[in-house]
Amino acid sequence: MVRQLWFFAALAVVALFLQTALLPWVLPRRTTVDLLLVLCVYLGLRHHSLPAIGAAFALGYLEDAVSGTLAGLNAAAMLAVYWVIYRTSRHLWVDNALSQVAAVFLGGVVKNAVVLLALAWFQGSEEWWRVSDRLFLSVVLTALAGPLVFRVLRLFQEVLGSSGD
Amino acid sequence: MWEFLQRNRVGLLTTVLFLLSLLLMSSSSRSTERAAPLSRLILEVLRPLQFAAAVGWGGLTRAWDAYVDLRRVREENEQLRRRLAELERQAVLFAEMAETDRRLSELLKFRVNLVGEAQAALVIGRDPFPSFGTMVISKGSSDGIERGMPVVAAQGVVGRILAVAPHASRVLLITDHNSGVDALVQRTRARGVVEGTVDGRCLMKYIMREEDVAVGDRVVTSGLDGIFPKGLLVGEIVHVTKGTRGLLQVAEIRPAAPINDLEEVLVLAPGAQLRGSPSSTGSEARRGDEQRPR
Repeated sequence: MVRQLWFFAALAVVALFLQTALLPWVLPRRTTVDLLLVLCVYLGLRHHSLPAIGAAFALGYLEDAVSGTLAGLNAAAMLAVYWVIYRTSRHLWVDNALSQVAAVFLGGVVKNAVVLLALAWFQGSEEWWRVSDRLFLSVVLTALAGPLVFRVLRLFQEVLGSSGD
Repeated sequence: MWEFLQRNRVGLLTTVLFLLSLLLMSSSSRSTERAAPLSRLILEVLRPLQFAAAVGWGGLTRAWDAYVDLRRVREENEQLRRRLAELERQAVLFAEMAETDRRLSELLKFRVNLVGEAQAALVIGRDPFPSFGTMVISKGSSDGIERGMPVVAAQGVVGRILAVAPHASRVLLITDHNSGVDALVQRTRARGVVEGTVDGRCLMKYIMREEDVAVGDRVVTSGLDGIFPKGLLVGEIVHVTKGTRGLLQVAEIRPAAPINDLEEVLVLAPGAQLRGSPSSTGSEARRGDEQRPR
C-alpha cells in the first residue's frame, strides 16, 4: 500500500511537471492534456479504497498549488470526478480503449463543470465560459491520451507487482 | 452504525473531503493570499524541474531556430553564389565581346584600306611543336582560300597559307624558319628578306652592308615576292648585326602583328593591294617614302 502511494505520488509529480513545463510548449495556447485527471479517472476505475479517495483529493490539491487562485478548487473537482467514475465503474462491463476514452471524457466534463460552477459561485464571474471551447478541446485531447496513460500505468503497476483493489 | 460507515466509507470520505475542499475554496476566496505551506512545498519541489524544462526547451527552441536560420542562410548563400557565378560568367562574356569587338573593329579599319578581296578567319589552332611557326585558321578551300595567299592582321603581316583543307587552312607564320618575305626598310628603302628562326624570332637578311639600317626602323613588304602586297608593315628593327667582314648585314625584327596572341586574321586574295597608292604603296609606305632622305 505504501509503495503504491509513493508510486502515485511520484507519478503525480511527473504528470504535473509534464503538464506545466513541457506540454504548454508543444500544445496550442490555453490547451492542455490533463494528466492528473487521467490519474484520477484511473483511480476511480480501479482503486476503490479510502487511500484512493485521499489520493484523488491530493491530486486536486497538487494542481491547486500551481493553478488558479482558489485553493481547493481542483481538489473538489477531482473528488467529484473520482466519485462519478467510481459510481460509473460499477456499471461498466468492458475495459477497452474506447471505454477508457469515454471515462476520461466524462471525468473531464465533470471536472470542468465543477470548476466552472465553483468559480461562478465563489468569484461570481461568468467570463470563464468564454474559454469553454478551449476547455472542451482540452477534454477531448485528454480523453484521447487516456488509453496511452492507462497502458503506462498498468505497465508500471505490473512491474511493481500490484493490481487494483 | 459501524456497518453503515463501513458500507458507505467511500461515499462518506468523498463527501468529507469535498466539504473540506469547499471550505478551502471559501477561505481562499476571501483572501487572495496563497500562502498555504503545502502549496509552497509543491511549488518548491516542482521549481527545479520546471526551471530545467523551461531552460532546456528554450535552448532547444533557440537551437532549432538557429538551425532553421542557418539552413535559410545557407540556401540564400547558395543562391547568391550561383547568381554571382552567373554574373561573373556574364561579365567575362561581355569583356570578351568588347575585346572581340575592338579587334574586329581594328581589322575592319585595316580592311577598308585594302583594295581587293579579303576574308576574315578565326585562328582555331596553333602548332604544338614550339620550333615550328604555323597555325590553323577557320577558312579553307570552300571559302576560296588557296595555298600561298598572304595572311595579315590589323597590325601587320602574319604569314601565308601553307596548306588548305575544305574548311580550314594552315598558315606559315613569318616567325617560322621556312618563311621568307621580301621586305624594305621603310625609312631608307634598304631591301632584304625577312625570315623566321627556329627560336621564333624574325631576321631581315641580305641587307647590303652599306645600307643605312638602324634600330627602330620599320620594315614593310616590298611586293616583289609576288605574295604580299607592297607596303604592309612587317615589324620594327630591334637589333642590327653588321660584321667587320662580308657584303651583308642582318637586322632582327620584332613582328608588328602579335603572332602568338592572334585570334582573327585576314586572308588576302591575289592582287589585293593597299589603297591609295598606284604602285600599291600603303599609307605607312607612303609616309616612309616621304621621309626618305634620298
